[in-house]
Amino acid sequence: MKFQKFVGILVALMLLVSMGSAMAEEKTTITFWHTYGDSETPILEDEIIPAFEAAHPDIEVEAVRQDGSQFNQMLVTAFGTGMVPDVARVDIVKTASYAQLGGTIALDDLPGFAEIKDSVLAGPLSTNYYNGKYYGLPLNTNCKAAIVNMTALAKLGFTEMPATMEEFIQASLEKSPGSPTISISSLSDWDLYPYFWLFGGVLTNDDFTKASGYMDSEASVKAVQTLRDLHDQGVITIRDVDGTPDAWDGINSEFTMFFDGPWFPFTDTIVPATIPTYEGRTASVVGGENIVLFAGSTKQEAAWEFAKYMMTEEVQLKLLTVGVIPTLKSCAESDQVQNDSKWSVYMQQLSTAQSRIPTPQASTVEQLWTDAMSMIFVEKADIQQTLTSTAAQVDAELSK
Amino acid sequence: MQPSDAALMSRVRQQTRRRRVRNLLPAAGFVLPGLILVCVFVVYPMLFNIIISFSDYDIIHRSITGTGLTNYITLFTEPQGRIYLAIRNNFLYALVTTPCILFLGLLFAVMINRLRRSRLIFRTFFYLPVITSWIIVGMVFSYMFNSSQRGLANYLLVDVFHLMNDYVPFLQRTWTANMVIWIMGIWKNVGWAMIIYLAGLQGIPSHLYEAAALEGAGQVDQFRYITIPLLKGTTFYLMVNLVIGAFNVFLQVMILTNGNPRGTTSVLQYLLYDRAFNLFEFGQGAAIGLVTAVLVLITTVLLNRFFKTEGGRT
Amino acid sequence: MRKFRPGTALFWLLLCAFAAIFVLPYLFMITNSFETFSYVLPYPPKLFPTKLDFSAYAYVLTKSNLPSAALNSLLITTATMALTVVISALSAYAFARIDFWGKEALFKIYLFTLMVPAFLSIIPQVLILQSIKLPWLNGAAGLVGTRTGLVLLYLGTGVCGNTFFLRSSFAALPTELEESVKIDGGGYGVTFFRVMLPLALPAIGTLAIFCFQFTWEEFFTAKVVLGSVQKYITLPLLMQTLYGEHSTRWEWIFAASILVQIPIILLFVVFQKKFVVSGLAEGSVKA
Repeated sequence: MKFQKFVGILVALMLLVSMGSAMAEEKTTITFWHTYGDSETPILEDEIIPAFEAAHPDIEVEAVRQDGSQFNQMLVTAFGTGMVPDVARVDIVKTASYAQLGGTIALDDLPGFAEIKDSVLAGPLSTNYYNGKYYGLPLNTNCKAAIVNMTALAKLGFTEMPATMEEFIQASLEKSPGSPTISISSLSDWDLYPYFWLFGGVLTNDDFTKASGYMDSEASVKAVQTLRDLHDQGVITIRDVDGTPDAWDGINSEFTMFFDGPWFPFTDTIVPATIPTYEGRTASVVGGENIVLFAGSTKQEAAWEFAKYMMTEEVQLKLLTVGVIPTLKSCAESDQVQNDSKWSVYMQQLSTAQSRIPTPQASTVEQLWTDAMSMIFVEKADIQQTLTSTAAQVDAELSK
Repeated sequence: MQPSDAALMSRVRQQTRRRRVRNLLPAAGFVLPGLILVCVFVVYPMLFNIIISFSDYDIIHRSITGTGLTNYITLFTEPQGRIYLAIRNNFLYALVTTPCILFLGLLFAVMINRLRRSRLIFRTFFYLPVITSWIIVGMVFSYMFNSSQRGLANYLLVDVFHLMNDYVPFLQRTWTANMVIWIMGIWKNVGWAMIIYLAGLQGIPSHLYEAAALEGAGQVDQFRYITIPLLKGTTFYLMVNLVIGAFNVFLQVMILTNGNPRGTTSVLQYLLYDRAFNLFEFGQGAAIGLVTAVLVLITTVLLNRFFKTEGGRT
Repeated sequence: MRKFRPGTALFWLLLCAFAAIFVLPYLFMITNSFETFSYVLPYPPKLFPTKLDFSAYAYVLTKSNLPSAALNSLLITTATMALTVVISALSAYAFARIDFWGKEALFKIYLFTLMVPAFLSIIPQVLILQSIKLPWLNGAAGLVGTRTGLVLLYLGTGVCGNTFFLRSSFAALPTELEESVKIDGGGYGVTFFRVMLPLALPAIGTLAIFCFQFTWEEFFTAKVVLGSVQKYITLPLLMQTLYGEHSTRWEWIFAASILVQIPIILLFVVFQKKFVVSGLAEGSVKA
C-alpha cells in the first residue's frame, strides 16, 4: 500500500515537473497570412507547418487564410491599425507598393538571404526589388499558357497545336468565319499583355523608368492595331467588351483557345500548350506570390525562419503537386517537373514570360492601361494618340 | 413693452435655465452610457478623419503632416475629374431611386393593407430583399445582367421575348450599368419603405375614411386628401434616410462595376475606398468623406425647407 | 377605382406580378444552390429548380467551423441587440422627455454624425480598441480580436441612429401618464421603467429586430476586428472562406447565404405580427 502510494506521488511529481518545464519553455507564435486555395491549404496545415514546428520546437505557426479579393484591403487596414501579421504571402504586383509604404522590411541583410537569392529564378526574384533592396522572396510563380480545346482545334484542321500564331489565325479566318476562336476575358494588363507582347509591343525601357517612346512606339501601335483588327474580324472576342461567355465556360462549346494559368481544371480534351509564336517570338505574363516580413512585427527572427523554410526544395515540390509552381532553379530542372505534361509546358513558357511593370504605383498604371484599352476597343479611339497620352501619364507614375 | 413685462420675461428665462441645468443630473443617468460610446467610437474617429483630410497621413508610422487644402485641391482639379463623375452619380442615384422606392413602397403598402389573409406572405416576399446581404444580391444581379445570353435579362430580352436583336452588355456601358445599379437599389429597399408605410397606414383612423365616403368622396379622392397628407411625416422620414443612403452607396458599385467603365459609374464612397486602400492616399479618402458629409447636409437641409413650405392639406 | 379593390383580377395580377419580380433573384439563388460544380452558372439561365441536389448544403453544413461560427454569431448578435435596446431606449427617452441643458445641441451633433460616412473610421476605431487593455486579456491587442470589442464597436456606432429612431416613439406617447407619476412623487426613473417603457415596447421591439438583422449579417467590421482569430469568426466571415482562389463554386455560396438568412426570415415572420406594425405607427407618423 505504502509503496503504491509512494509511486503515485512520484508520478504526480514527475508530471508536475514536466508540465512546469513545458510551460517554462517559451514558445514564439507567429502569424502567417495567406490566400492558398482549397487544394493547397490542407497541405500547408497538415504537412508543411507540422514539419516546420517539429524542426523548430520553439516556434508555433498560426496560419490565417484570407479571402483573395479582400486581401489587399485587410493588409492595408492592418498597416493602419498596427495589427500586422509576422509573415505573409502577397501578390507580386503589390510587393513594391507595400515596400514603399514602409510596411515590409528589406531582407538583404538577414542571415541566409544571399544563398537563397542565388538559388531562385531571376524573373520572380525581380518582383521583390524596390529601391535597391529586396523586400521579399519569391514563393511561387506562374504564367499564362495557351489552353486549347483539342476537338475544336481539329475542326480548324490541326491535329496538334500549330507552332505559329499566323497559321492559327489563318485557319480561324477560313474555317470559322464569324465565330471567334480566341477568348480574352478583360482589358486588364494581366489579360492583354501576353497578346501585346506577342504582336510586338513594348511597354517601357529596360529599367522600367520610361514609357514614352516605348508604349507609343511604332511597334506598340502596330501590336495594338493587330489586336484590334483581329477583334474586328471576329477571330478574337473580348468578354468584357462583347459580352461573350466567360472563357472557362466557352472553351467547352465555342472557343478554341484562351490564355490562363495552371489552375484551370484540365480535361482530356482541354489541355495546356505553349503559346504559338508570332513573327518568331513568343510571350507570356508572369504572376505569382512573394513571402514578406512585416516592419510592425516583433518576431522577425522566427518569421524569417519560417520564410526560409517555405523556400526549401521539399516544401516547394510538395506544393507543386497541387499546382503551385516553384521558384527554385533546382525544382525547375527536376524530373518531377520535366516529365509532367502540364508543368513542362508552363516551365517552358516561364522562360520567355515577362513581368508587368514593377512599381509601387502598379495599381494606377494598371488603371491607366485598362482605361486606354477601353477607349481603343470600345470607343474606337485613335491608337497612336491614346497610347501617347497614356505613356505620358505612366511616365508621371513611374517617376514617383 | 412695460418694464415689468421685461423683468417677468427674464425671470422666466432664468427659471427655465435653472430647471434645465437641474435636469442635467437625472438626464445624465439616461444619456451617459450612449454619450460615452458615441464620443469614443464616433466623434473621435470623425474628428480624426477631419484632421487627416487636411494632411498627408502615413499609416505605417501614423504620422500626420499637415498639408492644408492640398487633398481637396487635388481631388477637384485632377485631369480625369473622377470626383465630379462620382458626385453626379450619387445625385442621380438619389433622384432616380428615392421617388421610385417611395412610390412603389406606398403602392405595395396600400395594396397589402387591403388584403385580409395573405398579408404575411406578400409582406415577407417584399421584405426578403431587404434582409439579404448586399454582397450576395450584388453577385446575383451581376450574373443576371451578364452581357451574354447567359444573363437572365439578356436571355429574356433576346431569346424569349425577341424585343432586341443583340445582347446588351449591361455592365460594360455607362448608362446601362448605372441603370442596373439603380434597379438593384430600388429592389433592395422597396420592402423597407413598404413596411414603414404599412405602419403609417395603420395609424390613420378609419373613421376619417368613413366620414369621407359618406360625403361622397371616391377612392382616389380619399387617397389624395386623407392618406397622402397624413403620411407626410412618414414620407419625410423615409426620404431623408434614402437620401443619406444614396450618398453612402458602395457595395453595389464595387460588386457590379468597380466604377467602370473608366470611373463613370463610380460613387463617392467607392472613390474613397479606391483612394485609401489601393493608392494609400488616406488624406484624400478622408477629404472625400467630408465632401460627402457636406453634400448630404446641404441636401437634407434643402429637403427640410422644401417640405416645410410645401403646405400639405390635412 | 376598381383597381384597388381586393378580389378583382387586376388587383391580384398586379400584386402577384410584382411579388414575382421581387422574389426572382431569390428564386434564382435557391435554384442554383441545387446545382453541382457550377464554376459558371448554367445556360439557359435556370429559374426553377430542375433537380434537388442538396450536396452544396451538405458541404456547407459539414464545414468544421460552422458550429463555432454560428455560436459566435448568435452570441455577438444577441449581446449587441440587448445592449443596444437598453442604451438607445434610455437615450431616446431623455431626449424626448427630459428638458435638460444642451439637449438640442447634443441631438444635432448626433444627427450630424449620421451624415458623415464612417468608412475610414474603422482605423481609429480599431486603434482605440487596441488601447483598451484589460488585465485578463491578451496584452498587446487590447480588445481587438475579442468579441467584446466587436460588440462595443457595434454599440457605439449604432447609438445615434437608434436614438433618433426611438425618440419620436417616446415623444408620441401621451404626457398625462407622466404627469400622474410626477404628482405621485416619482422621478424620471420611475416614469421610464414603469410607464414609458411598456408603452414603447412595440417600437423597441422593431428596433431589436432591425438591430439583430443588421448585426447578424455585418461583415466588414467583424472581419477587421475578428478576422484573424479563427475561433471567433462569425457566419458572414465563414461564408467568405467559401470563395475559391481562382474560381468559385457558386452553389456553395448560394446555399450558404440561404442558410445564414433562415434565422432572420424566421425572426421576421414570427415577430412581425407583434411588433412591426404598431411600433412604427407611433414612430413614424409623427416624425
